[in-house]
Amino acid sequence: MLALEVREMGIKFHLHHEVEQTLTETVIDLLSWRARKKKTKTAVTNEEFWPVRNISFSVRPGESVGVIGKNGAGKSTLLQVLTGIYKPDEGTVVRHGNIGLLQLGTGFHPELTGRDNIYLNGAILGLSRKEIDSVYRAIIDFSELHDFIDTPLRNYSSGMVSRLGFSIAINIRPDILLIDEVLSVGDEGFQRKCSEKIEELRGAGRTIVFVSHSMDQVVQLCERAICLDHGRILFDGSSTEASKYYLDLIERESV
Amino acid sequence: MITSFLEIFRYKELIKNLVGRDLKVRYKNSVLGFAWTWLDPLMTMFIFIIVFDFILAIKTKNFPVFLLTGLIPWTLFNNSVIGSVNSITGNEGLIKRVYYPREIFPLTLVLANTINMLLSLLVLIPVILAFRIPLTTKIFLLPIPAIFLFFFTFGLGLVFSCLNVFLRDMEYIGPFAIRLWFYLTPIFYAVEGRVPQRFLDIYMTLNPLAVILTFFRATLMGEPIPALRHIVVAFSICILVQLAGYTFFKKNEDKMVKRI
Repeated sequence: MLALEVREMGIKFHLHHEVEQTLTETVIDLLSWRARKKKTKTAVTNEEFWPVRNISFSVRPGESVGVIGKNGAGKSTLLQVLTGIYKPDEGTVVRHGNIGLLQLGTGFHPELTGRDNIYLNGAILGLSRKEIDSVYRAIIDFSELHDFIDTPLRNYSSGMVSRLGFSIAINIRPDILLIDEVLSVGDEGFQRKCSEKIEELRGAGRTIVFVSHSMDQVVQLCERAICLDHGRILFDGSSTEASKYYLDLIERESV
Repeated sequence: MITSFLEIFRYKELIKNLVGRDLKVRYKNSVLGFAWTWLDPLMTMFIFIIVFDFILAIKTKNFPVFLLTGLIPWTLFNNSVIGSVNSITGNEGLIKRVYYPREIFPLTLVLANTINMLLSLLVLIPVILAFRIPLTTKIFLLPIPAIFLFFFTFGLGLVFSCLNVFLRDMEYIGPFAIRLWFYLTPIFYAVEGRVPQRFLDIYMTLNPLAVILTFFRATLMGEPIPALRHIVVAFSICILVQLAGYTFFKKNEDKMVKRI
């Protein structure tokens, strides 16, 4: 059985999203015949935009897969489709097991204390109070925020907030862990600690999908990697080859 | 649709936490803190007493109790609907990071306001005692209008929260419409004697809140409850609004998430 199965998946956005239509415009559009005529015209030119399309790949349980690509290649959108935030407009996504997206600052509230935020965040990620109780200590220990845990989050530095976020996500152990660009936070010591923790999860047979711009990290943490460009998979293979492919791609474009 | 409706129950831990967050954050950084739950209706009450009792000299029997029993359920409606306008757009950070049914946002808002309403009802106890209003067995009927008020409010909240994603004008229209609604609803006046008899049926049909609030007040002040036909119509509208709001929200959910 596969942990993740993506088949010919695509997701569509409309570019007119950028322009917010206000009520006045809607009313004018509805009232004026000219505007209506114009509207049918713009509807034709109204561009569809596919951040990711024709994506097919699968991930076996226990595998760790890196996702690499330039800014705007569709990496984050892909992860958002994998978690179910966006429903695919084409194709299918099948997941086996519960899934966790590790991203910075998921649902923190600045007025609540670190402790309250751990419980809120745990609930957001689908844990019961008991389950959070059981990992609560580990979260605080890992984040090293013992002295600040009863302080409202607005008094935290941004590094402290990221540490708390990472500690929560890493300690709740979903079956499939999606990691989006989080290893760039914190000082070197904390980064190393995070890498070690991910290695440990890997050893424990967790499925990991890992988005990063750091080829070193991808090669270190993943055996396989997918290279995305303009929303399509250009390369899917061993992480060393994928990173070479990606660096070549950048090289060619900068010439 | 039923399966997606049942899905909410899987998220009860999250709902509990979000409601807790709402209530905890609400009065944070205010010196009086939770006392505002009671001060807020009391202060509004005093404004109305000054305006109507003194300036306009319109006398209503037991006016303070009369006002409070209308203002407290109205505040639930008012705060929930106005708050729900921003409940999706204001939670973008959460919605774009984790999946769960998005109706949770307007729902937690209405739930938090409901808890707030139940707590603010406590302020009535001393006022009712001071005015020596005898409690009758009608008080046991109180949950009925409260439940229908909840459905009606949640239904409208679903529509408003979703619409605001597509039309940001709702942020301005919402409060204005609610203010107009306030004056059309028997809060500082009684239906009886104020609404002409021949318009009564239309009035009670078009404004379910008039029925709910009159019912609500009647249970606390021992007054006659509204006519059964008005209750049946109003409650049917509440259920209809709830179902229609939910269907509308679910139908537009995917589009909405992409649009935020």
